[in-house]
This record gives sequence, C-alpha cells and structure tokens, in this order.
Amino acid sequence: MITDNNQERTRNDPPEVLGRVGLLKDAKYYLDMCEFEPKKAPQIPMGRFFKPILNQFEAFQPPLVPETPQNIITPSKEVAEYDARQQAVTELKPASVPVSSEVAQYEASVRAARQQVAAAESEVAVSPEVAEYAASVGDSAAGYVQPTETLSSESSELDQDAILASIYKMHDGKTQDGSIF
Amino acid sequence: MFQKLLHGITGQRSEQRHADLYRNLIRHEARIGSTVFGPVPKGHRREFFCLDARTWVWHEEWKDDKGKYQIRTTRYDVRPDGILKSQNGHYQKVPVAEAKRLRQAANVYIDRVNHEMYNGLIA
Repeated sequence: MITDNNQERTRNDPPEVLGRVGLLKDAKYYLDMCEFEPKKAPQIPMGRFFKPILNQFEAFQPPLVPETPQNIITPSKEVAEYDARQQAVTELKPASVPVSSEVAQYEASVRAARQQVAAAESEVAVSPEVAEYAASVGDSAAGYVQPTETLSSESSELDQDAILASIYKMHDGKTQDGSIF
Repeated sequence: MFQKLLHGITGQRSEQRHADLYRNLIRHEARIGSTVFGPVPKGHRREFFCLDARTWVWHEEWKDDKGKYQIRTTRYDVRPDGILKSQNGHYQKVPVAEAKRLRQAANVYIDRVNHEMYNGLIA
C-alpha cells in the first residue's frame, strides 16, 4: 500500500505495522531524551552581561586608609580642653614648682648635713693592726669568693654520673631496662 | 449459540493472526538489526531489536570451543536518567561510551527498518 501520500498510507497499512511504527518513533524519542551523559554547565554569555561587571570589580581600588585617624577626627571643644590640660600637667617639671621658704631652708640644711657626713667618713682612722690585716688579705677580705680547682668540669661530670646512676640504676652505661641511656 | 461459538473462534483467530503478524514484524526487524553491528561470525545467531519503546534486546547464540551451546540475552532499559543493562537477571548501569554506541546502533536500526520495511513511515 505504498503511495506518495502519508495519510493515504496510514489508512491502508495494517494496525500492526502502524503500531510498530509508532513504537519505534517513541523508542527513538526516549533514546534522544535519555541523559546518560553528565550535564554540562550552561554557557554563560560572559562578554555580554558579566564581563563589564567583572571589569568594574577589577578596576575598583579601595580608598587609602589614613595612617593617623586623628587627622580626620575633629575632637569636640570639651575634649580639646581636656587634652590641653593633660598636656600642661605632663609638661610640668619639679624644678618649676614653687616651694615655700621653710621647705627651701629645710632642703638646704639636709644637703649640708649629707656633705658633712661624707667628709667625716673619708677621715675615719683605723688602727695599725686593722690596716696590716687588710693589706695581707687583699681583695678576699672584701668577701669575694674565688673559683677553685675543685669545681672543675671533670668533677661535675662525675657528680652527674653518680646522680644519674642513683636515679636510673645504670650498669655499664645502660639503664636497668636495657635501653641505652 | 453456533453463531456465538463461530464468532468466538473467528475472534480468537483474528487476535491470533494479529499477534502472529506483530511477532513476524519483530522477527524481521531482528534480522535487519543483526547486521547493524557488522557481519555475524560463523556459527553465531544474533538478533537485535526493539522490544518496546523503552527496551532493546541483543540476543546471541553460539557454540564455544568445547562445543557447548551458549546463549546470552542482553536487555537495555532506557530510562530518563540513564540506561540499565540486564544480563542473567543482573542489572548494571551502562557506561557512557556503551550508551553512545547503543544509541548509534538503534538509530541505524530504525533507519534501516524504516526504509526496508515501513517505507519511510517513521519520520
């Protein structure tokens, strides 16, 4: 029943044939629609929409941060007055503080007494025995302790070995559990 | 009563005739489909056909080196998110490469049966 007209053919072909034709069309459709490949990310038209935005981000430069924030902060009148007072207080020196005449007289007497004590100490006389003993002992008389030969490094190592042996019970350079110390 | 019985027999014969015709169409498609993958090796019997809109069947029979008869039937189940392959009751997802080859073979199959059997009815 082959004619040039598809509608004519569908009317004359047996239903089994039409059934197979429809089934094969469906099979082709399902195969084409089957997404057995991983989906690809959609292509974004970067040049048209997003590139200008990206260019703006790239061209953006952050403003310079002032090194001293005080330069851009204007204090209030009260704060400025307080800062001025604090500055004046810190710049005060003891010499500039006026004192009363009684205090000045007292300080002068103290200074004179200290000078007299210093002069008296330098003129203290010692007995001949004391002077002779001081000359014989030299610097050791001043109480300094000089290092001696008995504190050599060798003796200190011996002491350390003895201490370690007493702690770890060493035998032939090994500890009791056999590990090399 | 006789008319009713006669009508039942003819009805059964008509249904049987329709079923036989449908099976014959599939058998003929399967013979065409067997050549989609190239020449069939000697001693092999191969069939490849569309069972229904979502199922494709590849049937192969042959004798191995020891002369033992071997049969392998592979069913491909086409689903929206992939293709499942069933062999001896075991299902597994078809790799992308095999799925691509199956789709290519199915398209060749449809083109050939369209021209050799259905005279271009499949658009």
